[in-house]
Amino acid sequence: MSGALLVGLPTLFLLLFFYYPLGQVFVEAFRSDGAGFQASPLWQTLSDAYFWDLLQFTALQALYSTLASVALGLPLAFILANYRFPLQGLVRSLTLVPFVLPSVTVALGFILFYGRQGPLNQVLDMLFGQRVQVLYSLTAIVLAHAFYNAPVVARAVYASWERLDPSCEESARSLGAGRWAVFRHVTLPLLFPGLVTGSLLAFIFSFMSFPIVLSLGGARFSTLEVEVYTQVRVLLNYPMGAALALIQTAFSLLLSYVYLLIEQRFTLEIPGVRERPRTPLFRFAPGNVAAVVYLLLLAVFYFGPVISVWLDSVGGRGGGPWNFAAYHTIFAREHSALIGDTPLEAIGNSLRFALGTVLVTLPLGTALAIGLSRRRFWGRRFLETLALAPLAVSSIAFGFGMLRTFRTGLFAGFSSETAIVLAHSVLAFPFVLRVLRPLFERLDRSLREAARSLGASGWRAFFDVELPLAAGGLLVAAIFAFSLSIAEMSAAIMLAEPGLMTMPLTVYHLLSARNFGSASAMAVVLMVITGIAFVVLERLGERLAKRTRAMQASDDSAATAASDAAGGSEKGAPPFDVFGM
Amino acid sequence: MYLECNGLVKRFGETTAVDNISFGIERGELVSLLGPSGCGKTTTLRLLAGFEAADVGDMYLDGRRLNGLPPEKRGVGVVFQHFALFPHMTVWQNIAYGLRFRRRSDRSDGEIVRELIRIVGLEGLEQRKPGQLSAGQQQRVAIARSLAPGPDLLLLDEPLSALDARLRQHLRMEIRRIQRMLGLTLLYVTHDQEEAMAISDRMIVMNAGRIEQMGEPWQVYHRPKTPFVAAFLGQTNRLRGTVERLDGTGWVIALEGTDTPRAVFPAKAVQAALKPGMAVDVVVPGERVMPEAQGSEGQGAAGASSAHGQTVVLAGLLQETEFLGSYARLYMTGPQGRPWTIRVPSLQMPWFNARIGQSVVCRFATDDAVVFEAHDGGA
Amino acid sequence: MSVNLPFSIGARRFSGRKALMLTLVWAAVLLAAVFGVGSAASAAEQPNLVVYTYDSFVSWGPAQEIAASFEEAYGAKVTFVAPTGSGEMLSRLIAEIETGGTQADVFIGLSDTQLPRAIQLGIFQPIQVEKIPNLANVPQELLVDPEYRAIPFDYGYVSFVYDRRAWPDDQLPASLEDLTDRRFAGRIIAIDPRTSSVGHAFLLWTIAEYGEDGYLAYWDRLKPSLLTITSGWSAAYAMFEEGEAPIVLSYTTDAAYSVYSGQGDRYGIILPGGQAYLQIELAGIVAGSDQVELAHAFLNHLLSPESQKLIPTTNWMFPANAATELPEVFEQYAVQPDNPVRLDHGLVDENNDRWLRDWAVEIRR
Repeated sequence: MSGALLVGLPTLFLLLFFYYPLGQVFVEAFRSDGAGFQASPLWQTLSDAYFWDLLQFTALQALYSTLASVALGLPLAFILANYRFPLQGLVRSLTLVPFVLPSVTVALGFILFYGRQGPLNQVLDMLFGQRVQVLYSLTAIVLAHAFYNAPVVARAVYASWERLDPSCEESARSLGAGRWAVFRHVTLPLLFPGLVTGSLLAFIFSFMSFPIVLSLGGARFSTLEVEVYTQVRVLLNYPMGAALALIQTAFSLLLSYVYLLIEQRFTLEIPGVRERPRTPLFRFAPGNVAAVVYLLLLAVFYFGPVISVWLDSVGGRGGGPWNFAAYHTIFAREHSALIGDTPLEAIGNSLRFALGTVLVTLPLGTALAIGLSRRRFWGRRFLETLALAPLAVSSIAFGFGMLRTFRTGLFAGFSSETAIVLAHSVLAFPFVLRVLRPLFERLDRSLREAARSLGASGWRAFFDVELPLAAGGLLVAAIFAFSLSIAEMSAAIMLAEPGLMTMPLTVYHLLSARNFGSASAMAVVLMVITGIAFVVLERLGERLAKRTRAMQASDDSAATAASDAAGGSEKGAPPFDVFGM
Repeated sequence: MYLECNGLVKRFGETTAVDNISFGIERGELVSLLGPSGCGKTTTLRLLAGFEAADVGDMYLDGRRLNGLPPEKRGVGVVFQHFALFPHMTVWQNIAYGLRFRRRSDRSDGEIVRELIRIVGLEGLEQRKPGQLSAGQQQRVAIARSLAPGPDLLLLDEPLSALDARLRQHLRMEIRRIQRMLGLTLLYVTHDQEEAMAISDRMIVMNAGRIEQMGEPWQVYHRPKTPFVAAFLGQTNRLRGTVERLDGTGWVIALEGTDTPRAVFPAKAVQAALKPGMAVDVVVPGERVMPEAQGSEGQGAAGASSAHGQTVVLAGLLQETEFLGSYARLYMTGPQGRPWTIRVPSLQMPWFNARIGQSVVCRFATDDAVVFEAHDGGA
Repeated sequence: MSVNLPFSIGARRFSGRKALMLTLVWAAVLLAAVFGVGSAASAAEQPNLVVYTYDSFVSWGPAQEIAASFEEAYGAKVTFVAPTGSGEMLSRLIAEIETGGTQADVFIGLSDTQLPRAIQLGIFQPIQVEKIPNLANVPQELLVDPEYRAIPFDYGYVSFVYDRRAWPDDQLPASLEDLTDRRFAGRIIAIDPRTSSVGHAFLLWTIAEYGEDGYLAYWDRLKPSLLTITSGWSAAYAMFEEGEAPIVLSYTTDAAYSVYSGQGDRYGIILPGGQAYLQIELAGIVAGSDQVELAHAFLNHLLSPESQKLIPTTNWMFPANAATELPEVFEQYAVQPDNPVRLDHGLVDENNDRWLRDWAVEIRR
């Protein structure tokens, strides 16, 4: 395999199926048919009060969502870092769960849990004779975003807290500072980076969120991301859709850039970390009681919607007899007009798309990871950034680009199925690359050379030595690609057509029609699949971490390279933690 | 020559890692490639192994041209600095790996692996994974593995640098033993001059991509061709002088800051084309400088001739002493304020009776010195 | 070769062939997975008629029964596709036709107000009237397209419906204006006129009532009363039935539904100002369909008395075929306002895009 091919093929893939489609959207946004920029959709949109209203709402809801996430996530980080209690490890890994819950299932859970006749209101009605109106308002959107992003904030802050050497606080105490002064002058400044990066991530995710706003917002609450969808798929106003997509892409790139800047600026290593002393949580003290109450409320907040979905899928809503009727409907072979497919086929489609995504991304990701780690060539960093860009670009805008290029553009001959698989591959590619890149970076190149000098050809050396050593990481990357594709809805909704529905789309259509039983059953199947993937990832991630540590132990120069590549792997975080962007 | 390299050049972008070097190795010879890090010795090895392609120059092994051949077709074995053992294979599988690619043989794989394991002394560890071995054992596996396919040439890239000092000494003798036993042709890359001198039939000293000197260890140590070689081999004691004239016994050189204003250096001590009036550096190995006991009157008068040529006397200020068992090191400020390090048998220490801060009178024979053209700025 | 070792080896050979094979197999699997499987639709042994319609025509309406009887009579398969409301389905159809073709042969559920746009975009082909004998029984005033690119199959009156268990009878709104009263705050479920024909009908009603200059101000006043604006009627009605809100935008036939479904007089009709908006639902044959004969047969079947008599108690609309016998519950409870609101089609076609846009801006304020 020549080095040029290793880097060239993945680059070509990204150029054709990411940059070109996105470029098409931009061209469309600027197209003015010779009437000057003032006639272009972009200018028209920018001079439209409607757009500014949209932008304002998008930013405002993202801001509220971020504040809610911080309010919810900070105490969790505090408790995880300073207390000791049973099942702590479980709670810590559960902070990853929102990532693997497809957001459309969370939207469904919210509708079921917070509905006027939902469990929350029933309990409130029983206790206080009052009901609260949460759904169909900004509150619902903000809460759902907090559901997703509080763990992001908590993880970021918790990681800084874990890295914070207790000796710092102790030496401040010994210098005469009181508890509060220590917290203000030492702890807080050291936690600040985690707080800022976590909040910024929460803002970015809320800014670009799609299924939640689409499902919970209604006509009155739509964000830029949802509006692109509405303009393109509902109102068929492609020029305005393109202009909005361009603006949305610009914003998402800008925000991600700011995030990277801040993250780099703030990465200060505090050497010589000692384990933090932790106090037992279950010991009577006012603070502890507050912490326990908070944890219980958190449990209701998180488990309420999810359990609502599970119960609803077996006929639990309305107190009817338990049954599996909903499952019968989703495993039925009959065509369902509501989703434009048979539900079983939707499951099959999802699995097939996910498999396709794995088959596309894994070889390409491996090639690029090897290509980038083997040679130091000009523009290497730039190329890597280009490859990671799909992380930072609005999926809806990208989906729109794919729609244009695969329906009327360059690839008009290809099927929509191909388009969906390629779209998912592009979206999964950065994740795969982020898993594989450090792996191949820390793979000692002399291993490969040793095999070559012993008589193995380049291919043979790859299959005999590099591949077996990378197997664990490849599996992690594969599961990542698989789960991402299974849960992805934004690009899919832009590209799907009757006969090509996916599981999240099915959930969405069923919940739009308020056919909750079937929606819940499908959501449960989806959660089970992503849940299994998550558990495998956790286990595998730990094993992989041990393995690489062992590899490093036998090779000290490789060890430094590896820890560089791992980007300062935090304690307690699995090595596949690519969520930190 | 069994291995011949002619005019090898390798550039990485702006930097020239290997700059037109030529050398050869005889069959069954152990040659070391010595130099500081970044001198191009590892690149030379990688050119030979086929991991890098030479920009210019040819390589022949037993008459076969190596240029352009992929690593697996060169018949060149490599032992890597960090051994590069396959962590997912057992000791046995590691050693047997290279046998997968043979076409046919009169001996089975098992026989060969067993024999190699015996040769390197790893009996009983066949089923271990590399992670379960000590560094020394890993090194032996690496050697056995590289030997399995029967390479025509074996390259060792700093094979001992990852080990501690005691193990290093032991293993280098092992390598020498195996090399002699099997009659291997071996190129040994190292930055450790003691290791190179201890192990080699011949050594090649490299600096900045060029070969500074080739020859037997004795020759290179005692007759360094360049100030760099002298410095790299630990000869840092320098005197500045000016060439006066050539007389019957050798070059007469005026020495600055010594008690011997001028001395005659025999032609064999001179490594430069000297001309009267030329500034030169006189380099003296530390162990050839004799300190005099404190208070005693100079036994040999300055300028006296002996079997080792003329004696030069100089004085230095003692800064520090180091007792190292069999010998001791004296650090002094020599003539013109240059640092001098001299080595004396430790038994002489009490006799010598030096105090820190006192002046020490030393002498050396011009036969033992090397004269280079002066170059400023150290080395 | 080397003679130094006590064993010798032969020339090294290229042994990556297996690896290469593996790669080729992978590439083949990849290609098959990505390009092959999905596009290889199995050739149907019987003709398949793909019908796009709105979701509630399937979940409430007579789609299944009509398909079954049609399949029996004609030996053809009918596949309904109806994931969303009628407005969104029409958009989907238009988008598919514009970008390389659609699977749809027939579209059911076009609202009369959407007709001019559909005609202008040429998404329907003219129907050969002689192939639809049942059209003879459709009253002239329902035949909104004289060129028969779309023909009516039912009609109804859009208005508000309330739940007597959650809303007192004496608090009903007397007029559209009364709906903006504070007592309705967060009590009404409306529907997006951009995605739903029902929602669109109500928007047109407000324009008919307040004029082009006044309707936006009305919506501004109405906003506090709206709990949410759903994208389709199905979702709105489901929310209503689940008790999320006591008042929903729907049809005047719902009183009949209330009785029919065994809930007595639970659901009552609100006729603000004694009015409701007339909506005629149309069906057409998609331009470019390769099942033209079958499509005609299907439309005739849709207008047949046996299909039409299913409409009142499933789709809860008035059948277009005047010869259809109405069920008693329908006769008795379905409200038919004397003076339904209608806006001129030409006017609607001319201004619709702007009205919708302005509405979307207003509703977000």
